[in-house]
Amino acid sequence: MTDLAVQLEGVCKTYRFFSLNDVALRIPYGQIMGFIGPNGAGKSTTIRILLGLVHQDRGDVRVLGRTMPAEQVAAKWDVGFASEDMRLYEGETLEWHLRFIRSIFPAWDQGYAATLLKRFDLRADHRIKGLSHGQRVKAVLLLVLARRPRLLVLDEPTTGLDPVSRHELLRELADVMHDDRRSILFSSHNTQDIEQICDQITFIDRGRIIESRDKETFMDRWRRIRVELPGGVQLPPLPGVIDVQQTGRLAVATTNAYDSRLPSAYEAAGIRVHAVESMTLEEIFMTNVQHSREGARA
Amino acid sequence: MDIHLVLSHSDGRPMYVQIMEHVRRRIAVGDLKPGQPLPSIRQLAVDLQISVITVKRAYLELEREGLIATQHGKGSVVAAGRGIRTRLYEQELSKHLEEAVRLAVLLGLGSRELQRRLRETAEQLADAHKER
Amino acid sequence: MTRSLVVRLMLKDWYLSRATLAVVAVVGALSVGSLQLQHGLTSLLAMFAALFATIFLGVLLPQQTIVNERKLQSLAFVMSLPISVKEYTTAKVLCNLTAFLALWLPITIGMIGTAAAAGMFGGFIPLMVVAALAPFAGFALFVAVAIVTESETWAMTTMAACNVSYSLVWIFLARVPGLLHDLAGPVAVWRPQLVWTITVEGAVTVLSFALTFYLQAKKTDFI
Repeated sequence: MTDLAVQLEGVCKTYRFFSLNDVALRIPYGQIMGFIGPNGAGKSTTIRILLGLVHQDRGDVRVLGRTMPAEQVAAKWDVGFASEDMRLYEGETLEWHLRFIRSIFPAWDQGYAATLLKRFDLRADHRIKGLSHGQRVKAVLLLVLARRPRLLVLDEPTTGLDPVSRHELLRELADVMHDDRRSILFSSHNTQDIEQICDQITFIDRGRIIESRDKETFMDRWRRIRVELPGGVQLPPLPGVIDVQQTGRLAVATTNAYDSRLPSAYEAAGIRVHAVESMTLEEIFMTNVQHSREGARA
Repeated sequence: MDIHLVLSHSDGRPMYVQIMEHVRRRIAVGDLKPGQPLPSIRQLAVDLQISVITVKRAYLELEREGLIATQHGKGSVVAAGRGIRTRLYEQELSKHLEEAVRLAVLLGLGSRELQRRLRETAEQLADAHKER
Repeated sequence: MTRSLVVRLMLKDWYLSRATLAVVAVVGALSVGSLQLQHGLTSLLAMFAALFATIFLGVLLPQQTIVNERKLQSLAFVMSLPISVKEYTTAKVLCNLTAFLALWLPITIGMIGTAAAAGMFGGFIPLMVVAALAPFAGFALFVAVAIVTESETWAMTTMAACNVSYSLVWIFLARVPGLLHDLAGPVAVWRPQLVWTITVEGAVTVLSFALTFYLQAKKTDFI
C-alpha cells in the first residue's frame, strides 16, 4: 500500500455545477492505469489535482511519494504531463521546444528524442503553426517521452491521432514498461487501447469512482449471459445482474459480478443458458454509464 | 527468443487466453521444447504491447496446467517431461467433448443418441480419409 | 540546477516578445534623438512618440507574455514544468518589469534630461514626469489583472479604464489655476496637485505588484 506511484484518498473538489466526491486512485509502481469515463465525468479535474495544478478541497494526494500540491515542484521533476488541449508556442519550431525542454531536464535522452522524431514522422525545423493537429499532439508527446519521466500522466493523448500514430504511441508506452519503477496514468476514449495495454482500470462518472481494479479481474466480472426462457417462466432477479434485455423468449442478462454459479442458478430455474460471453471494455463502459445514470434517476 | 504472436482484437476471447493458446500450440507442434526458456513477463508484455498483468495471468494459468514451470527470480521455462504434447491434445479433446455434450443437451439429445452421432461422424471421416 | 527555472522562463518570454521590444527600442531612440534637435514641432512629435511607445510597451508586453499564455493554451505546458505558482508569478512579473524598465527608464530619462538640459523646457518637466509615470502605473495594473484574473476580458477592460483615467487626469490638471502659465516658464514648478498625482501613480504601481503576489498565493485552481 505504501509503495504506490500515485495515491489519491478521499479527494473532494466542489465547483458550482460539478463536484468530485471521495475520489480514490492507487497506481502501484511499474503499472499502467487506464482512466476512463464519459466527458465531464471529472477525469481532467482529477488529473489536475494529481499534478497540483488544482488544490483539492479535501483528501490526500501523494505522487511519487510527495504530497500534493505542497511538494508539486519536487514531484514535477519526475512527472511528464501531456494533455490533448495542451498547446506549444505557435511561432517557434519544434527544435526550439526540444532545446528548451532539454535545457531544463538533465534526464533528457537526445538519442531517444531523435528516434521519436523519426518514428512520429516529425521534422524538428517545422514551426508549430504549420503542423496538423495530430502532429502537434505527437510533438507534445515527444517532448514528454524523451525525458523518460518516472510517471507519465496522459490526458486523452490519442484524441485526433490517426491509427498509425496511435499505434506508435502505444508502442512507446509499452516500451516504458521495461522499467518496473516507471508508471503511467492514461486517460482515453479509445477503450480498445486501454483494454490492451493497461494493468489497472478506473472508471469515473459524474465525479465518482465507479470501479477501480486490475484489468483482468475487472474484465472477468463482466459477462453477458444469453438465455432461452421456456414458456411461462420468468427470469428471476439474481444478485449482480444489472441489466436484462428480453425479446420474446430470448433474453440477455448483463452482470458486473460474474460468478460461475450464475449460469447454474438460471439452469436450476429451468432456463436454458445458450452462451456466456465476455464483454469488450467499450460495452462495459456503455453499460456502466447507463446503469449509474439510471441508478441516479431511481 | 521471439514469441511471434499476433493478437487479435476481433477475436472474442480474452488476450490472456490467446497467449495461452499460442503457447500451447507451439508446444504441441514441437516449436517450444521442454526446458526451453520463455521470455520474461515484462519483455513479452513490451513485445506484444499488452499489459504486464495479462501476461502474468497467462503464465500463471499455463503453470497451473502444468505446461510451464516458473523458477522464482529466474523466469519461466517450458515444462520438462514427456507426454506434454499428449496432455495438450487430451485437454483439447476434453474441451470439445464438453462442448458436444452441452450442445446435445440444448438439442434435447440423450447420451445414447450422442454416442450414435459420434460413431457416425468417426465413420464418415474414416471413409473420407480412405478415399484420398 | 545551473540556471534557475525562473530565469529560464524569463529568458523565454523576452525571446518570444523580441519584436515588440525591438520596435519600442527603435521608436524610443528616435524620439530621444529627435528631441536633441530642439525644434519645436519635432520635439512635440518626439514626446508623443515616446509616450505612445511606452504605452504600447505597457500593453503589448503583458499581452504577449501573460494573456496569450492563457488564451493560446500554452499555460498547461509551462505549469507542467517543475515550478510553483509563486515561481511562475515571479517569473512573469520580473520578466515584464525588467523589460519595461529597461526601455521606459532610458526613454524617460532621455526625454526629461534633454528637456532639463535645454533650459527652455523646464516648465514642462513636472508634466512630463506625470506623463511618463502614467504608462508605468497602467502597465503595473495591467500585469496584475492579467496574472490574477487570467482573463483577456478583464485585462482589456482595465486597459480601457486606464485610458479613460489618463484623460481624467489631464482634465483635472488643466483645471489647476496657473498650471498652464508654469508650463511656459523655464523652471519646473512642483505644484501640490502634480506631486499628488505622481504619488498616486507610484502607489498604484507598487500596490499592483504587491497585490499580484498576494492574490496569486491564495489561488486554489491554477488551470
